[in-house]
Amino acid sequence: METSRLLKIALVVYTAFTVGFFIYLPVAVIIVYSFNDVPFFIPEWRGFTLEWFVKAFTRRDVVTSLWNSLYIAVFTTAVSLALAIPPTFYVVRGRGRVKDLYMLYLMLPFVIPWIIIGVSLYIFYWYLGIEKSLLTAALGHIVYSIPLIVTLLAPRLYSLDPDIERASMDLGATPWQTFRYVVFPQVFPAIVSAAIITFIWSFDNFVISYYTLGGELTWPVWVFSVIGKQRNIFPVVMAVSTVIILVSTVVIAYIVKKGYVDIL
Amino acid sequence: MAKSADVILKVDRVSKRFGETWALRDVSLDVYRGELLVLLGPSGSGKSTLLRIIAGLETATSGRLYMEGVDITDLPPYKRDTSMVFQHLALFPHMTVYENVAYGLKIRGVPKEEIDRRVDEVLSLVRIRELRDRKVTKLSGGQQQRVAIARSLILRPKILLLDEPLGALDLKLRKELHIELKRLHEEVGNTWIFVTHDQEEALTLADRIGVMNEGRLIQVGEKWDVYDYPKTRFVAEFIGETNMFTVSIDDVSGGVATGSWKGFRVSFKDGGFRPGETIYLSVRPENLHISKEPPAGEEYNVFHGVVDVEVFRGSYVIYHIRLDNGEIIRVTVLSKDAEFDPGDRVYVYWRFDKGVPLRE
Repeated sequence: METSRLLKIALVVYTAFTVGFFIYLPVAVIIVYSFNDVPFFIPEWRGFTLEWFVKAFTRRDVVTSLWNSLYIAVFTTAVSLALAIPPTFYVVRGRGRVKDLYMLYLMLPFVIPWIIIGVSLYIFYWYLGIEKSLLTAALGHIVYSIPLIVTLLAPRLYSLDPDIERASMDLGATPWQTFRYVVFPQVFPAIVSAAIITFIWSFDNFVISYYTLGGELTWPVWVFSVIGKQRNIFPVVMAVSTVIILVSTVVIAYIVKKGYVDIL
Repeated sequence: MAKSADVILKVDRVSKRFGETWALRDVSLDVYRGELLVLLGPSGSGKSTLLRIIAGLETATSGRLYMEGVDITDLPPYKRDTSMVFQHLALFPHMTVYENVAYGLKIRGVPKEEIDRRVDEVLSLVRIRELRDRKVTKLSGGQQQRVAIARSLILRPKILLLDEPLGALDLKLRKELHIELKRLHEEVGNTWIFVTHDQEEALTLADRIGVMNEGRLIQVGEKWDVYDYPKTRFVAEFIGETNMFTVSIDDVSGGVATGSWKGFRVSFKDGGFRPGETIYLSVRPENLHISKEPPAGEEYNVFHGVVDVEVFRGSYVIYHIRLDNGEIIRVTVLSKDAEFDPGDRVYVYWRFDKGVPLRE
């Protein structure tokens, strides 16, 4: 009895410790030292400053890269949801061999490494003579986001009782009204979760973006392009990171508090 | 009670095939205006499929449906004047009681004041008016049940379809709701078709019972008739308890057929039988009598045996009697008359006309 309880506590603490030590601690260091009055990173406090924030958000390349990331993430999320939601219904409700093959066809990009998606699109665009841009990078993100969204939404759809939709139609609602008033509200929290995860994934993605972007860079690609090449760039990167972390925390907290999500 | 002239729904030779299996075979049925018809059968008998076809949630492979003379076979569910209470209720989990019940009227664009009035009216009818603004997911099973019925009744459907709606509830609550549903049916006065596999539920609720098995509608009739005069062994054994004897007939005379069952002589009313024929004789346990002395009179079949087991059921007792030919038969006796103990040697007898001979 006692041992098993201790073991449970140990396992929970162990996980908490791992997450804390390898994620929260490094992030906290970044946040704290983004206010440190030193033009490079040293593990030593030299006084509080907002200079790096001012510097970061007055740099044109930084601001542009953030806008580009935002643009791609919003575009990817919107288009992927529109493309992924109808087939998810088919995959969940459909039957037979054609459905199984269709599901496989949709899900396969999920297991293709990002580097392969990136490189193959790189060659593909070159071969077709398509000029790379933010749009071509977003297309690369969408390829991967569709199976991601299907994976996130399918469990929720599986859990819906099809009799509830039949009840709606039995009560006089057309199939469209049934979707609008009965299915959609029940699936909405899962759609919000899927949208958030897709957005975050797309905003963060480096590998696919790197091979599919044109001259304009996203934030992760910009970071890669300057780290180690420009002097004193660390404090700028840390300042932007701090802002991103704080903004996303606030936004997610708001969405969760409003009850828009149930699985996050 | 059914008003036999007025047929509200006519099911005409409906069959339904799912892949290789026939869920319904050639079912024809007249449903009378204002009656409470119970479709009774074991799981897989096709009763729910028939209900779903009436609701328009399944399409018949062949056959037609007529509602008040109009062919509704090809109408989608939202254009039919029927409403269904589902087996697992299928309430809208993201809505309150009010929103669930108001749904059908809202879809039809009924003005809000009228919706409010009718919701209040129907919630009073099912006695859950005080739960109006609660989330349906926060209600008990019995309360959810009432919401589901109210959601359908508010539309004043010509036919209310109920698909084993009490299946998930415990026995005590079911029995309460049976009485409640009877009252509700009386008050609302429309036609109900109720599907169940529970014969006791069927006998409690029904005006008429339709017994189904393996996709066929075997017998439809007033519940007393179905109970007292089953048409087949299946019906006799599915509704109520019965003792079934396989009898080879050797004599038919004067309206009485006589034959033998495992060494005993058995007589019953002639149903156009011929000597040499084998039939099944169904005798309900409550039509059997036991006593220590043989009965006086010629009109009885009399067996002899020993009381084997006594099962006390409160108001009545079931005796299992081991007959002299080794077979067991069951006899029910009111507890106040139950004066026998296991081991007692007794006579078991019943009047000729209480046995129901069945050909299939």
